[in-house]
Amino acid sequence: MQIRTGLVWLASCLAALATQVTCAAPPAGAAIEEEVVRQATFVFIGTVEKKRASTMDEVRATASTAIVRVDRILEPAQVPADLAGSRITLQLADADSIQQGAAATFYTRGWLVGDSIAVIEIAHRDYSGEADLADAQVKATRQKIADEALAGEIRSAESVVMGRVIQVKPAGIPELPTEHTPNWLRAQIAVESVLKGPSTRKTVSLLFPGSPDPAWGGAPKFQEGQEGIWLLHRGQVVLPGLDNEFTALKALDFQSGRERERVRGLAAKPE
Amino acid sequence: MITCARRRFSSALLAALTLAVATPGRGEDVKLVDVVPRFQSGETTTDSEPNVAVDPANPHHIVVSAFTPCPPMISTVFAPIYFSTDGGDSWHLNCIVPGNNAAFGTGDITIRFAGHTGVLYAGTLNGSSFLELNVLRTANFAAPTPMTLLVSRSREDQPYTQAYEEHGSDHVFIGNNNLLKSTLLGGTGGQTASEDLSQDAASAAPPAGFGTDLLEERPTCGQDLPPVRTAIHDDGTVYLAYFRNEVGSPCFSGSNTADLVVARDDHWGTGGFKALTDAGDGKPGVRVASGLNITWLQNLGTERVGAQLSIAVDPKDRKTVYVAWGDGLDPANFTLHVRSSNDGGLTWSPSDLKTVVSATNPALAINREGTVGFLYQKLVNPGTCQGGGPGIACWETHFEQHRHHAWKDLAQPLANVPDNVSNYLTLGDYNHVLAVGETFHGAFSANNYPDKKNFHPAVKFHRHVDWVTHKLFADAAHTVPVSPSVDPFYFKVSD
Repeated sequence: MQIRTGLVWLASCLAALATQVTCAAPPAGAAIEEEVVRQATFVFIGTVEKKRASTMDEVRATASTAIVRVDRILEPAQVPADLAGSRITLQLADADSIQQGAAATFYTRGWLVGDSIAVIEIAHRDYSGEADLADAQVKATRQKIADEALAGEIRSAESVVMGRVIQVKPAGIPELPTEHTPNWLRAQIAVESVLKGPSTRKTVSLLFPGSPDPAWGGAPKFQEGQEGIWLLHRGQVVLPGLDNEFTALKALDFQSGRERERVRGLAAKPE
Repeated sequence: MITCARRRFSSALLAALTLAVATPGRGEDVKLVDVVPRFQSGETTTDSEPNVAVDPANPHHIVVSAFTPCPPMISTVFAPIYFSTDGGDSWHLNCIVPGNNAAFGTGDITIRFAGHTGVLYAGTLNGSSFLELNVLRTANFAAPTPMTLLVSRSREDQPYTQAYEEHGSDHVFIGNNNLLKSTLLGGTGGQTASEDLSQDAASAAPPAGFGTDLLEERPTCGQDLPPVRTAIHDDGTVYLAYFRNEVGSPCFSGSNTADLVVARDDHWGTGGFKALTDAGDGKPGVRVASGLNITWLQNLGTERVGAQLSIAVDPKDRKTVYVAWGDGLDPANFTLHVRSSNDGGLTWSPSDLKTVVSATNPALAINREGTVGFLYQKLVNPGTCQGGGPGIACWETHFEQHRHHAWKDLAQPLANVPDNVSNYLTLGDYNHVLAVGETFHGAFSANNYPDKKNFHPAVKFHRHVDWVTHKLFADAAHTVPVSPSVDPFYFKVSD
């Protein structure tokens, strides 16, 4: 019953999130489903210090806002230095679902950053000391999401190799007539092992943008001696001079060598 | 006794002189704010290439954009704008712009309000998709709802947004370089200077009336230069400025040889910008200057130069228009020029009204008194800024006003900072200034090394700073030091 109730609520929540920014609190006792964690960008344990209140002039205090003290941050790892212990504004999913003075694990989406922070509740679970359990659940969900993304990138790659960069040099491709020209460089990789694709490769070359322009801000850059795992694609971007060349333009397209077994396992999984 | 009195008098005189130099000039009311919010004190990204929008119906509402990625606790998908609702005193990040990459946020981004509708418009290059133009809008820049995508098109460059509300209709113009037409990239024609425009963009479903006007009618070497800039008068006169890349130009092989062209439309762009005809070739758009040799992507200090342009029209007189541009083959001496027309763009001042050598990022605006505001950033090598050691090159950000035939700078530059914090795109390819009533509002980027001597005395930081030890910190207790980086700054100047 608890799971079914949770799934019914989850379906209505997802439908609501498609058109508005909040959804109603889950029914009491329902487990926080994985999808809530997927939607959240900021998960923390906090205490409601004052209802009908706000820490920011830009968020008007209403029945749906509360000042919450951030007691423990579960994710993400990269947060402002002073966030733990500070008071932030929470837009409640259901104003009546939590009382002043109550502690809960809040699953939220971030909203405003200023002299304070405002976040929007997706859901919460009343807190009774299960911080480590919530933390573990969040970490597990994030790992699952990361595995799904990497698996998708592996599927779209033509080849996945592990090795070391033995040479980087200009690719000799004419620059594009734009300030966002990539300045293509060619990296020659000595292949140690092939995790996907033809296993006979001893070396492989790929092009990567040497330009630091923001247009290429997300593309990994490589240097001689660098070791790791490359997910190689053709046709990631259609530009002159790239016919039939390998590229690895997304952040996921380069992995540390420590991820070898993870990558191998994901590559072996059926779609 | 006489000797002591003489010394006291000299000291007092020296002190008075020092105070007079340090104090902002009479009648000079300046606000200068580093817009990085307090809870972003730990950030060290290069937040360059800023733009600014001020709601003319409510000038307390101000938005700034820059190359800023969204903090991961807010979003990994949407890039931020900075906004203020109290006239620029306090600032917030709101991540509502589609296409965020973790290093820079979006690519090129410019923003503008039109007027009483309160709708904010943006032209961007999506940070997740190479050279993809997005035209966006939001009716509430402080709300968490992502901006609405009105137009999406690939192979585009440097979208530059302007807007004006007329009787409830938002006229929105996005100058851009349409690279689909570039023969250098496999397109046809080579005439790429373009303008996307809508006569009523505030609320209609996408594409909200947007269509594309191809501006360039002259042959080119294969592609025009990136910038296309727009200036709008409230009677519907619209001026455009762009660089036509001449046939025979080196065409992006280290430099370009270009005409500066100004075109005009007398009814909100509906006439195809053909109101001005060049007396020499009979084509639309007057060639203000021809044969301009412009270096391409070489560095002035650590900043690339080669495509800098601005235009402004006098709100009091639709026929008075100013243009500023940069040119020169030697990047170290990249030179800014300001010229004007008082006959609607037909003829132009034969020589510069203002020339600045070793400078970039010219931005023009004209207030309702007819005062011209000119923002630019000049490299002084060696300079007098603090924090870089002796002999360091310094970026000085200046804002000058032109009235009664004279240029007057602020008593001190808005910023005078070391050129040592980034080795690429330290300032960005542009900044911006605009006028609302008599007041000028602007945005520029600069090294945030915290020394009060490096900034106009009005400067305020919200991020944690120790001005005495010249250090930045991530936390209020000043236990987590932060390296200097590039921040966007908002400024306001009024008399």
